[in-house]
Amino acid sequence: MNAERIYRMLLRAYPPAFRAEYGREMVLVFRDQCRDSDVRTLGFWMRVFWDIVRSAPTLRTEATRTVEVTMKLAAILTVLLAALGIFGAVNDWSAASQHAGRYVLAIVMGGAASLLLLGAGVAILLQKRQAARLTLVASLLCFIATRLVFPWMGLFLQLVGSVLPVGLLIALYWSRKSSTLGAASIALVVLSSLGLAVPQLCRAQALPLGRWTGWAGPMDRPSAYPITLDVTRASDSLQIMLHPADGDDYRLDAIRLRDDTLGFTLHLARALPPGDVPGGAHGASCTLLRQRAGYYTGLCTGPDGMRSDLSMVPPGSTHAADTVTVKDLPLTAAQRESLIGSYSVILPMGGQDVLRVFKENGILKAHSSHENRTGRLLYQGDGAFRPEGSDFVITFVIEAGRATSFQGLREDGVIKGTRTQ
Amino acid sequence: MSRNPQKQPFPESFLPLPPPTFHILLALADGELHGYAIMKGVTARSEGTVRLGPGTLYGALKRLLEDGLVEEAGERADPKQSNERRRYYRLTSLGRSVARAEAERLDALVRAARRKKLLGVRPA
Repeated sequence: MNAERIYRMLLRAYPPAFRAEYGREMVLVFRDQCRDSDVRTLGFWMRVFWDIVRSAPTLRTEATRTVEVTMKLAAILTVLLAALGIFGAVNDWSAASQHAGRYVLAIVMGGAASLLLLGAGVAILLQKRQAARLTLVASLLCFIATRLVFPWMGLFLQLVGSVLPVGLLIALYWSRKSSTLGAASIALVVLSSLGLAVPQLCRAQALPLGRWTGWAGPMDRPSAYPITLDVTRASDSLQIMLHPADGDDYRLDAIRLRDDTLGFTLHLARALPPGDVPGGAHGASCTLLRQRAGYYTGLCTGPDGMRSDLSMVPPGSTHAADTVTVKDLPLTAAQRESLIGSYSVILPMGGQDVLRVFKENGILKAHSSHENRTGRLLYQGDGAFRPEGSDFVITFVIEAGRATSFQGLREDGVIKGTRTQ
Repeated sequence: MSRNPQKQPFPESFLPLPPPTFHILLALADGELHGYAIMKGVTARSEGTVRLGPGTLYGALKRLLEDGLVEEAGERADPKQSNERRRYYRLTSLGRSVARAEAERLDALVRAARRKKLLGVRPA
């Protein structure tokens, strides 16, 4: 194989368009070099290779036009996310039009921010950089105002509303210098948005859609009223309707789902006649904790300070035991000691019981006065115990190394225990 | 981002030039040259300290053409080399202005170095 043939093969390192334009000239130059130099020396080929290694990657990077392509992709993504935001705002508006106040104001401003973001995306696609900068700044200001009015905004919306315009602004100013840093900043923003949004969406999806069941009632009768809930998804937000067995339906507003905590506010679903004062649970603020078995239980506090229990059981899980694998994890002596004592128990139908937790031959046991039955407490981890032979778990609340209360969900409702001694 | 050839940009906006680019502009300041002649001119002027390979040379020429500093001057054979037809390049008026601006920039630096006695003084 002669030197020119080798060089022609090496030319494949360059982008095809560059080869087509300058390949012939480069071969001519190489031929001249071969004529004037000794091609059999190592130094000659070292210089040839070094020249290719130094120039080909740069030309390939330029050929892919990284900055322009990334900007175009970012603009398309912006348009799509903004359209999603507008759709969500319209959806929220139709759901909340009966309720005036700052929630509606937040929807209007959020919609405006999305509209401006859409305009910015289109302006970037049309290469109207000045228009894109102005609409991005306006969108960012509008979003900040929305966030101040409506602080319970989801993380995904916050990322789209704030990080995306900031990233695009950086890229638009940076790309004046034709720097790949501009493209890198957009890529970083897009990747971080997706990286943070995907777990958020996955977590949101952890709240199963469909018909939920549950109980509500005052604290001394936590399962007095059976309820059903319809959990649906519109755009990127959850929508939940609460249907009591009798009485008015409630809509769950300002839903916040973070880790194992579900928070929301209850609002009457029907429009009230002018002058009519809403009663019941209207305006109550609720915080529920996800239990190991997958159900949620917690408290609602009304505008008048009245507190009531609320439990929500996801569809397909008739009771907590369905999703729990029975374990018998070892306990330390300190863990056992922290639980030993007597607990006053409120049963699902309002009955009362006394549960005595004690140690026998190093094994933790519980005795129910109501059922006159003694059995082991099988440790399931994270403070949760399954009474031997039962199909539910109870979770103890430990304060200062000592259990103060427990809660559990049986097939017939919530049981709660408070330490008496 | 390629510069718009319709609007004549300021020569200073191209500065500082990478050394190979400045050497190419210097080589073309004498007149139209083909690729190999540019390479030989650069090597001779730099006394062998700057050696442009074909990839570096044509990569730089591509950018100079895009920026409007250099233009093609047709194809013809060079009787000194071979009968193959070669593409010739020449400076544009912008390219000449940019080369002059870079030379002035370097000259100012050299004068500053002289004032600081970093040049023209032999170490004792």
